[in-house]
Amino acid sequence: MGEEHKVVCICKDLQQLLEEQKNLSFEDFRFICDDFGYDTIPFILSTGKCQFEAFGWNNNGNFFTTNVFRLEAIDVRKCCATVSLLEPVDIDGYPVDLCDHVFSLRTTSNCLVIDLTCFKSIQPLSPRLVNRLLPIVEPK
Amino acid sequence: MNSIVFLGTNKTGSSYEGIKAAKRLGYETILLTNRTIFVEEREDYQEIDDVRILNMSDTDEILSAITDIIEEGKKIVCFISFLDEYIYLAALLTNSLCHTLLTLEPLELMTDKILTRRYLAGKDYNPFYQVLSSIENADNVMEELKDQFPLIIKSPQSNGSKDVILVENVWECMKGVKQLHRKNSKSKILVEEYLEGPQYLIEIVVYQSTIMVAAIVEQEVTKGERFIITGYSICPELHLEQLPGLKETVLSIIEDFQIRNGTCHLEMKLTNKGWKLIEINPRMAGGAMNRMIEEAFGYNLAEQTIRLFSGLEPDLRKKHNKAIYTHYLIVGTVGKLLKVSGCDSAKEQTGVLEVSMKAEYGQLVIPPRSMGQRYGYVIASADSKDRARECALNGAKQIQFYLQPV
Repeated sequence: MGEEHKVVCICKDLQQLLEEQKNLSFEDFRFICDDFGYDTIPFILSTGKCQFEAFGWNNNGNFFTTNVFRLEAIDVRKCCATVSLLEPVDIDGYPVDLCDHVFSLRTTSNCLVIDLTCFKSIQPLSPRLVNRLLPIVEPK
Repeated sequence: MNSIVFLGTNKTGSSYEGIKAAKRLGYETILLTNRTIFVEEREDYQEIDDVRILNMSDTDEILSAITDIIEEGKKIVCFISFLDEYIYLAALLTNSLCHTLLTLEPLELMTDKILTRRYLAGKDYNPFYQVLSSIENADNVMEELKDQFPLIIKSPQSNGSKDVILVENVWECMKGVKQLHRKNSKSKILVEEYLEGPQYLIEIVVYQSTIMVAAIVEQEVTKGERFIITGYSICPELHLEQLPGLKETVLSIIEDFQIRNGTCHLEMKLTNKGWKLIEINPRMAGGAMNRMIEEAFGYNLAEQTIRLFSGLEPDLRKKHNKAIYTHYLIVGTVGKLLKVSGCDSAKEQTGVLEVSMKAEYGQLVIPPRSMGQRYGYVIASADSKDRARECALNGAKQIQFYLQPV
């Protein structure tokens, strides 16, 4: 009974996250059509014992692992979600582990369908991290 | 214990090195300042024995603080300032309350660039100039100047290349005049001929009418939106006599100002019309200059200035002769500073003596419009001028600024 309650919670939470994410990018707004640069609430999923990690290929074709995702779609009835992988990079644009000087989270086209009943918690991160422009380096 | 009272200081550079030197010479150092950082971060400024925070733009408040110091029984040997705005007052106080007799009159002239130009009017080394007394008569002056471009326009109180603008035509000139006028509508504007040629900074100490050259420093100017000096070179083989005509010009400038006891630095340019005085300031140059001179010749000019102000003879005997080059770091883009990399690697390069970084993380950095917008420097030494420059530039090459666009 308790387990079921948690599953519903994660599902509901992600549903709300998706809604807020849409609001963040002003999707379906009638009077705002500007792009303010934020359209993702990145998040980490955890089973309670460990963080969920996945691997993929970045836009340059290089392999990377990550535990940060973007929610693309959710099926509440089946309690599963489609997520895309976000690649953590440092201030120079090189791939890094999440706990190691992450400067930006790059969006990728790698998608996964996950069963939300496996997870117990969500940790949202700042939307500002997603596709954050790398700094200008002087002198070049 | 004898005390020296400092009127203002910067956190680093020549002015703070003056305080360090006074402490080293065994004086109690008293600082009058409006910058609370010297109290808040007291442990970082251990060479200052006594800090008094006051409104430095109020002379009465300064005088009242000095009265308090005297009433406390402190024996003041001299008052000194390495900052333009207080140099005259410090010298005036020294002459009035202490035993040293500094040359006072030129100090007031030198702090105003229009007064300096007018005082030197007719001298060969004084460039062509005009004074724009109000924006209303700008059109008439422009008519007179229309064949003289390019010109330099500046505010008479400008220092560190602040508010010094190169203008190529009447339109640019009017734009620059309006820009300066917006900053200070009451101030007159100085218009000078634009001079091209190698530029030298000459550090002078005059003790009992004896003129001593503490250093000749060749300057490398970077011309962007403003004139910014990004390189300073001390060459041990370079003497005043080797630059024909410079010695005579410098001596006649000091003579024309009738400096008997004091220090100053001149910026001179060798043009096709001979040596021209770009600027004269009644103090040693700021920033890394003191360190450069000490590394080159073994004497500390800030310390020798303290000796002069306390009535002692400055000692400018060279202990060694090294070529020194200082390269200043600037940026070409506006941005928020996220990170500076390569400082440690720069320090490890051959010949590099010091790497100093002024910019703080999170600070907005911009392409320089004044010398204050240089964000660090690398000092290097070697046995020749070219080699020292190469070492400094090699050190600077290791350093990178990471800027978040704004």
